[in-house]
Amino acid sequence: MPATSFADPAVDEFRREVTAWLTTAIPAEWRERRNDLTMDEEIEIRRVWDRQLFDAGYAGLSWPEQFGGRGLGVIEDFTFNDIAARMDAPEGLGRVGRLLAGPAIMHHGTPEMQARFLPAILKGEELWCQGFSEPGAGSDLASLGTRAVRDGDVYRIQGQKVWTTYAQFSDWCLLLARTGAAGSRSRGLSLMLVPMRQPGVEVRPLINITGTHEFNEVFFDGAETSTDLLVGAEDEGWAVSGTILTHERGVGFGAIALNQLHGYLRLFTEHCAAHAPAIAARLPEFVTRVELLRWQMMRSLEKMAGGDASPRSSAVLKVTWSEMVQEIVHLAAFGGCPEHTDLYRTRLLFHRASTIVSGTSEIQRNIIGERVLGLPREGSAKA
Amino acid sequence: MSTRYLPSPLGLEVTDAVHQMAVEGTAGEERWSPAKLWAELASGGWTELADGDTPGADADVTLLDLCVMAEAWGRALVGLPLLSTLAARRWLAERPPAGTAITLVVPEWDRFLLPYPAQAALVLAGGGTAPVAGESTVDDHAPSLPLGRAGTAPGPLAPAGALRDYALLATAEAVGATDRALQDAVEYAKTRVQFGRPIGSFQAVKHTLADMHRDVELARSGVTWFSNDPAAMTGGAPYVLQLCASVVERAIQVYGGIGYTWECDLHWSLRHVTQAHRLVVAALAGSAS
Repeated sequence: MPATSFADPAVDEFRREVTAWLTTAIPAEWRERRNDLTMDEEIEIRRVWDRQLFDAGYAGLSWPEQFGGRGLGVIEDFTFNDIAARMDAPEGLGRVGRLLAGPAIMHHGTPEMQARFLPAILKGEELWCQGFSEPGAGSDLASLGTRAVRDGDVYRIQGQKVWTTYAQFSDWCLLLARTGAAGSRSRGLSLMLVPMRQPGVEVRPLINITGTHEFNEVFFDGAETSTDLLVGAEDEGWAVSGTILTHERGVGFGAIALNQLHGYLRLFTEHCAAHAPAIAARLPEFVTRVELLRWQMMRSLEKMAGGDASPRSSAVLKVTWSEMVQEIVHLAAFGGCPEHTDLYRTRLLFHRASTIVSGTSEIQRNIIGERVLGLPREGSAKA
Repeated sequence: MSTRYLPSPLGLEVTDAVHQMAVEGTAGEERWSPAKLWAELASGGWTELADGDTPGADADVTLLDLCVMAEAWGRALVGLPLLSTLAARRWLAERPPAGTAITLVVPEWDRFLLPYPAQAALVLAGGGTAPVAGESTVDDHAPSLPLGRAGTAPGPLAPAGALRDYALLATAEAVGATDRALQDAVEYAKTRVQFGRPIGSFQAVKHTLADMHRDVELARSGVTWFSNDPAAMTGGAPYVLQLCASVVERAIQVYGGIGYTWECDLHWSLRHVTQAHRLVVAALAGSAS
């Protein structure tokens, strides 16, 4: 049974279990040479980590038991991610499979699909990427133009995706494509599973501002997938994607962000404040604000665990942590701590992503305004 | 005791009931200090909510429950000493009848503050009560939180624990006054039409309101934090109350010109939050000395 409160004694037991496992499971190489690993070495460790998670029973913590998961909930998910972030554990490469493709298949896929794909996702044997955003369809996802045309028992796919994290390692793509007429917006989209290793799929790296290679552009030029691999009904992919995107915005990111924030405050307190008056002056305020965020997160998680599964609280959390971490690295980078300038200026670049990924701050504020406060949509509400 | 992030079911029931009484009780002409509402609270046993078995102990309702209730009370902006009475009774070994309004003497720099000087006859004094002594001038900047000001103590100083509990409930009450301003601004933005559209459809206004909602949520989380860890109020409560004030300030901006008039209720919230900041800072300093 999933816990509904952090006060549940089972959560303490779970915390001890996870801590004990992580203490021995995190590879020494990762622990000791984290910042000196080559990209290839890092990827290999993370690939193995997926398998380690599975073997120890942590791959599908909140997946139902019938699909090989532990049947636990958001409280355990957060607890695991929180401890893992605090102990600097690697992050598996199978994240998109576990958080997006898996839930999509569980909730909207056929029994055949579930039997074929879910075990390989849990074990990290097959890696997934998310084919949603396009150059012309970012925040306005419903305008996307990649087409999937039915031809007998296959769909033929034509178009371009972008921001496709780890497409270079992926076996499968969870693709959102237009099956309806051009201009059908959200009514003509379908969600389908597409094999990445086939002619007609080309992956080109897109190097981000810190100089690392996570994103790609993916070009589909006549690539095929079976019509059996449609998730949900044709032209109903929008609703299906909507339900699974709430997973992406959820618990793991929050736990990681909170630990990053605590990491900066620790560094400020232990080192920078003594050398940098500008940092010292604002440190107490940020200590208070990070603590407010932590309590907000815990309250939201207990509400979610109690069955209030609205995406609303996620939008509040996302705006808060993403902007706070940017404010903090800005202070850090320009605060004048001579010892950490190199680190902070890299982090200043890195955290620009926070307010853009998984729904920009502007989109999050629209969600809060329209879905929480009930304000009218822009342009569509003539008086 | 384990950490509490959410109120208990009992706390939610109490909150609903008190909120409804407060809204109905302030609808009449005696807006700030309706005698009928006080009588109703006393006869219903609502002033005894926080009476634990021993001084300072939780009753059936927890401190967090009381905070959630205090927030709902604050949403109605009532100038009655319910929260000072609840905080005081928590620390009394022998308690006066339910209808007795009690307040606390709060030291502030070289003088003393007395919340609800005209409404409460007794002050908390150690484990008992004492009558209010001497004269005080009334700071009625916020009629929902009148403060007496006196050069000599109008009674014995309240014990540190009671000052802290009262600071906590006053902070929660201020969050309620803030939420009221937010809710009013949201309703206004849905109905006020300019350029042929409700102003709440424009992102400049919508995003302001979204930020205000986020800040009220964070303030609420602050109260949850303080109810679990009262010592954290020293650094945290002044920040939370300023955050609340900034929400009400933005509510006035959303209303535009009408928000700047006496006819619009928003200034009562801003006055309340400002006054609460003064009281809470003083009470926390008093509880530390």
